[in-house]
Amino acid sequence: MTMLQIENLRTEFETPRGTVTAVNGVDLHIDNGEIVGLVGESGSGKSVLAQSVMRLVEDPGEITADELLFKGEPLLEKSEAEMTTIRGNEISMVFQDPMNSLNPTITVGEQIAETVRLHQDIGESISLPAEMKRKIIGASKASESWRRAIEMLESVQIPHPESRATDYPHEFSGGMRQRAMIAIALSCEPDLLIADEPTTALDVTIQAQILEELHSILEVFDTSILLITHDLAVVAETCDRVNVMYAGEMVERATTRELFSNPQHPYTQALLASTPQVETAVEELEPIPGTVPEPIDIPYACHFAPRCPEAKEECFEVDPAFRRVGSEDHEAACIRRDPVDGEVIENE
Amino acid sequence: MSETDMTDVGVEGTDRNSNEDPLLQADGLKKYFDQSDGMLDRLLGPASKVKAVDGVDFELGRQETVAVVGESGCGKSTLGKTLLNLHDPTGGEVRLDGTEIGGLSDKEMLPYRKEIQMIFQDPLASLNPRQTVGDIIKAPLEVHGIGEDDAERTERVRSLLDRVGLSPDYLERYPHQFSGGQQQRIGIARALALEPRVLIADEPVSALDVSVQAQILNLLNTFQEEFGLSILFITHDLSVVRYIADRVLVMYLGEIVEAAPVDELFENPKHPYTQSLLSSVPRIDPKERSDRITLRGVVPSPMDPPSGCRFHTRCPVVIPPDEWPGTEEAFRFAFRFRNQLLSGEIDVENIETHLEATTGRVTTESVADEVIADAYPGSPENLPGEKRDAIESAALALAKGNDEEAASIVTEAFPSPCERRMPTEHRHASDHAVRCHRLDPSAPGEPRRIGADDA
Repeated sequence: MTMLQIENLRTEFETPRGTVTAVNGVDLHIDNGEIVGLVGESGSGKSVLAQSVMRLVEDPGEITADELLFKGEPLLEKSEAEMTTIRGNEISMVFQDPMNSLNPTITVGEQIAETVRLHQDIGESISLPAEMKRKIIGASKASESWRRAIEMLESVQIPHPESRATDYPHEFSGGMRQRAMIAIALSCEPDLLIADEPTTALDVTIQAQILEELHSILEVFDTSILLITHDLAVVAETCDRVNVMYAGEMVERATTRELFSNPQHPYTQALLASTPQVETAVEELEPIPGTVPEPIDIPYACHFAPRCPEAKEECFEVDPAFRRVGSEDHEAACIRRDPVDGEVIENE
Repeated sequence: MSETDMTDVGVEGTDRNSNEDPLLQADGLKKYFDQSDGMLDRLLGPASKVKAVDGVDFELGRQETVAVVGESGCGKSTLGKTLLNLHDPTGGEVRLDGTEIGGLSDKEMLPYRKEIQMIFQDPLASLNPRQTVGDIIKAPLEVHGIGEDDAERTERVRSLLDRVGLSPDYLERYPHQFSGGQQQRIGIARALALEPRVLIADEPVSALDVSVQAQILNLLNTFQEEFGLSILFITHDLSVVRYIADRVLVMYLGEIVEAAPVDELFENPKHPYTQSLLSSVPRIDPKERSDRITLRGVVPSPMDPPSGCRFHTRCPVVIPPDEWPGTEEAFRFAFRFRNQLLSGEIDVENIETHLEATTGRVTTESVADEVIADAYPGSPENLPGEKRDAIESAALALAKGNDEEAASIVTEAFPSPCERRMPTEHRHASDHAVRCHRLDPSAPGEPRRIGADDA
């Protein structure tokens, strides 16, 4: 079954300088039990895409889409109240900086327990006085929500969850904070987890642990994951399929193996050429000249054209449609790539 | 260079300048931070100190790029700042071209500041938001009295902007009007305004996108050739190190554990810490992926670093003592149990609560069993008899609340040469130095020394 089906999603912000089109006609789908990668540099619109799915886009953002289906139901037609139940319950999110997304004045256990109380009917009052009382004198350690919080900490491999649950976020290390964030996100057993740069602020040794953690989540909780990152190697090691985004548009998508062994879009190729690799001593990195354009009324058809080494005049004029460029549903939006028709599979 | 005149980790001249002394040099450099909160703390007992940099020997040759890598908290940034004398060194020496500069006052330091400049991770935070780019880059020229008058300085700034790939017309703009990559270019222009000989770059590309990161790295390479810059590159990103560095120092808890030329270090890492660090880096090509060496345990506090080899609490190939009767693997399991007990990671109260909740009854024996199940990886069955007894009696002592007794039992039963003795430096090759007992033929014990290779 398809967990998330996005077609022609546009997210626009009216500003005094013009309309910012942060997400510009993007298609994306995630199947059950899949880890899907979304790669792009800063300003590519990948985070706004995630916020659009959660309908958490800041004012004055406007979301439109031909289809934005979550488990077959259109998210854009939901009321705000319905969205509140979906957020956290069915779709939850993990952010880059765990220190800024945890409340520094509340213990980690209580923050998880709070999520459980809010989103799951476990018979504990969530009235304002009841919550105030908990915040002041601490939650009852015998409550169902507290027990769930400890279970969650245990499932993300926090040692001694009973005692660590009473710690404040600053008493956790960076890796443990990110685990705690994952625990909060998973506490209501969501069907879809959106992880926005979950390991960017962490050391490689911790990053390796968190990425393993994501894999075990997939198995234990049967949660689909959308992993948003700028790090190609993280995607290569973690995801089943990859989508590459540039300046608000999707430019290439394929299975992970196919994308990295046979990258086709000039942007993907340039991105790979500018990435230093640990295994090989490269003489000279090839940076992509110029910078990502501001997403305000970009005048050229292919957004990458001005930085593209292969761009011809028509690239600025003709909208690049997706075409098959390799095996396993490998598609790229570039008019300078010949479409592979039917059965023919072309390898470079 | 002969083998004999190199006694310190990291001593190596580049080929280009092998007959010259290193440009920047540190011997036994230490930087401790006082942890006491106030005067009362200081009067009561000795202050606890964070040993951020603890005895680092270091050399940077002319036109060489040396990278310092390590996890966050290992002291790499403190090392950079101490070399620059932004922190007063607690001990040891720093020499710039043979002149001692460690601990000089600000005034005495002024002439040397021109020679060593720094660029930072967050370019925007390191640029004054209220000054124009022109003023920012001009400031160091004014401080050091370079240029006849303002017009001449402005001219210099314009040419610097041009050199770092920005339009000279940007002079009147403010930092926030630039992208992250451009801001870092401004930071580089400011650092290079004084034509320094040494550039200390602390995570200069960590906040940038890969395509922009490559631009900045290439810019640094160009300047190195043009100005003959020596660069100390501090980073946690091993892929960047592979690209930019000539030589690499690996740092762990304030000490350098391995130093080697870049290709040698990546292709033939010797220290178990370096090996596990390298194995953690994600790789694009599936063929390049090797088995990940996961490090257990927490990074110990730099306030009270472990004795002997500081890595012994997390080392996957820690050495058993001579008289160890069992297998190496059995020893490592027991040793991990020991370390968790000694570091206070085993929380008996917690285990009691857990037992209370699951079974409803708590006895000393059941707690002891749970302690073992919790902290001993696998089952102690495969341990030789008396050693198994030691685990059990330690767990029992802990369950009874005799923490000290438990600690002395495990310390007695599971010693390792790694915790008793500081590893001396072993030269794997003339320019590849490692501090690990596994590689040191003169270390006590009977380790299978190749063990470090097949880890």
